[in-house]
Amino acid sequence: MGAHLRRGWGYRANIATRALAGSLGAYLVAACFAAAAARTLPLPRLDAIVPATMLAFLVAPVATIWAFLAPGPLRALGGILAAAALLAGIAWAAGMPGA
Amino acid sequence: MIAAGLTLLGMFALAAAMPRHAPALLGAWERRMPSDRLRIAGWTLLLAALAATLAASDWPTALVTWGGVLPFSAALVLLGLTYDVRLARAAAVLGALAILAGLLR
Amino acid sequence: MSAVREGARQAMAWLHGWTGLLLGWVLFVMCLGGTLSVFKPEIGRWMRPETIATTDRATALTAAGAWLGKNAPNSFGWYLTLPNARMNTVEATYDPGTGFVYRALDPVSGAPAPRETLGGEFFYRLHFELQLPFPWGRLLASLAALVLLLGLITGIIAHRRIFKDFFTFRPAKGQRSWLDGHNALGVLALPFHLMISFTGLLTLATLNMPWAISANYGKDMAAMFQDFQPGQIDRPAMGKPAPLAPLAPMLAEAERRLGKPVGRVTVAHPGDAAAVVTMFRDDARQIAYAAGAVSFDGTTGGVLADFTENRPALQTYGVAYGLHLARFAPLATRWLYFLCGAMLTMAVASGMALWVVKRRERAPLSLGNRIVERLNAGVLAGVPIGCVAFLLANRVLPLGMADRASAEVSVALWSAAAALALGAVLAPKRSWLLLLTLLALGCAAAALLGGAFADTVQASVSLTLLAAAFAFGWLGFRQWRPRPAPTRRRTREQLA
Repeated sequence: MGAHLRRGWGYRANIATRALAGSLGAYLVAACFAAAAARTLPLPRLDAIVPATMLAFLVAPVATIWAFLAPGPLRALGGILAAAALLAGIAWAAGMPGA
Repeated sequence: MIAAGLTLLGMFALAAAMPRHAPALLGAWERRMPSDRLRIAGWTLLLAALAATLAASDWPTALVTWGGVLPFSAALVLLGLTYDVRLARAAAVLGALAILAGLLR
Repeated sequence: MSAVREGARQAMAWLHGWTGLLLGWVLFVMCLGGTLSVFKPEIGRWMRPETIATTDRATALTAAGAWLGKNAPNSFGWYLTLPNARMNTVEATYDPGTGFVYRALDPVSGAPAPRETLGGEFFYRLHFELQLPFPWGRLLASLAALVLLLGLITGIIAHRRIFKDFFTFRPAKGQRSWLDGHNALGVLALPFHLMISFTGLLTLATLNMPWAISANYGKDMAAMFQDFQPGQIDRPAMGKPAPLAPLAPMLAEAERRLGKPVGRVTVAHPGDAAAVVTMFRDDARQIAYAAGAVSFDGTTGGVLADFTENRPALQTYGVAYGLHLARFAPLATRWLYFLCGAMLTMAVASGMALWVVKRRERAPLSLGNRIVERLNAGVLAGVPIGCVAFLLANRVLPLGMADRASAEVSVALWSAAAALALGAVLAPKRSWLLLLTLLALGCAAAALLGGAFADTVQASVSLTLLAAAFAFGWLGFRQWRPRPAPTRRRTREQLA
């Protein structure tokens, strides 16, 4: 991470943005993933919850790591939000499964 | 029991395969045992340990037992390497004895 | 090693360090509580030395039902765990009119054990609730668990030579030793650490990742629970009083249908016409948690539902849950869990220590890091002191005291707070020495006060305490004896 930005405001803003993307953002992505997977997996509606939730717990740390490896802080935040929006869209489009 | 013995030997072999640790662990035998053969032997022993646990019980219990024994065999070898090499060599001997004891039961 | 990969490793190391620092102390408490909880029933037995009677499950259940019928007739429900090989009492959560309480009931008389204590349950609650009110404790615990998982993954990525360094430990070399130790503790038992953090998150999933559930069920939680556990019938109270049918025949019928012993029994709305008695398969007989259940009508004893889990996804969930609780584990495996848990606890502790040591060797500590250093002493030594104080209070507080169980917990919390204060006020060298000595003395005192060496379970607990006393005493001794410290100030390049 750019040594020339050390301790300057640019560095702090960089870290803060990534931290936001990697914490609340990563959780948001995981939550949307859980919802999307639960609705789209070809399993009965209760059964689908299990793999959806388990995978969500893996998606969260991966998203956090990505937020800190992305080429720039804005790319990090943007990518996280885009992923969350995409997954939320899939979940919404799939609709709640019937009984 | 057999699994424990196999993992001990396996860990010892893997450690011995590393050029950093081979002189300490193998001493005079170093020339006789090439490093890549030791490495293959080490991994094979670890997998054999897994097979032994699978033979003894159902697969979830087997995985748990195998996963549980691994850290402690590694720790024994590690402690031996750190403090007294004879401990590590003793661990290997202990491993062999454990395998024998398990087979004879 | 390309420059990009080096940058990635450094970023991961940075993330590992900072997230570890933020939640390290919380994680330490959780891991310590969890490790001790592996022996929850055994600790409970140590803490109730008067209650040593053992009977079969049917007698214990009948006795408990009779006592509860007289003393908690209007409880919303009675939540019981039947005795088994490890625990001779009936663990009961019930409402005697003043709110829910947890007590261990004597299996012969059905009455609560004379020594009122939370027993091992204290460490269990500390582990997943951090002694904080619902839901904040569990949410914080979930956050810490997520950070642990993140820490494990970033730690793996950041570790340059994870296989080559596998057998490396160089003691007495300052930061290098702390790093080696932290790595060894983390890597050697890595499968365990990954498993326990992942399964731990899963056990709290209904609170911390409920979105799959709400996506598929919306607000209809009742339907979800019905689908999840068809063997458990939930229905509201009718308001009409009716006596509860005998429990022992229901137990026999449940065990006949399930083919396995029963572990937990839930009596919903006892004394009401709509009472339901649900009996669950014992967790100790298979890895999976809550693998099967039978529900009975409370007043007639007739079977309402009978279900043994056969859906692969739900079985997977049950196994994952069971892997975390480790109730299935026979004694040897249980010790493996305990030791691996101890390794994880020490990995977290060594990480916190490493944060300070690394910076101390580079330059005089900043104010923030000096605070971290003092908090380290207070928390890493203080929390165990609190745990030992809990055990000591158990032996020292008078038996008939009111609210005895809460008093024991208060002693534990105040002791930890005092230790934390000492850590904040004294210089780290002195506070570590003092706190470690107190810890060693406390463990030894608890072992000696423990007594009752006739009972193997209690003897094991006391002996373990004695071993801990020696370990902490040795650590304290090393702290006291002046060691040649590595005072060379290293440059950043040398440390990379």
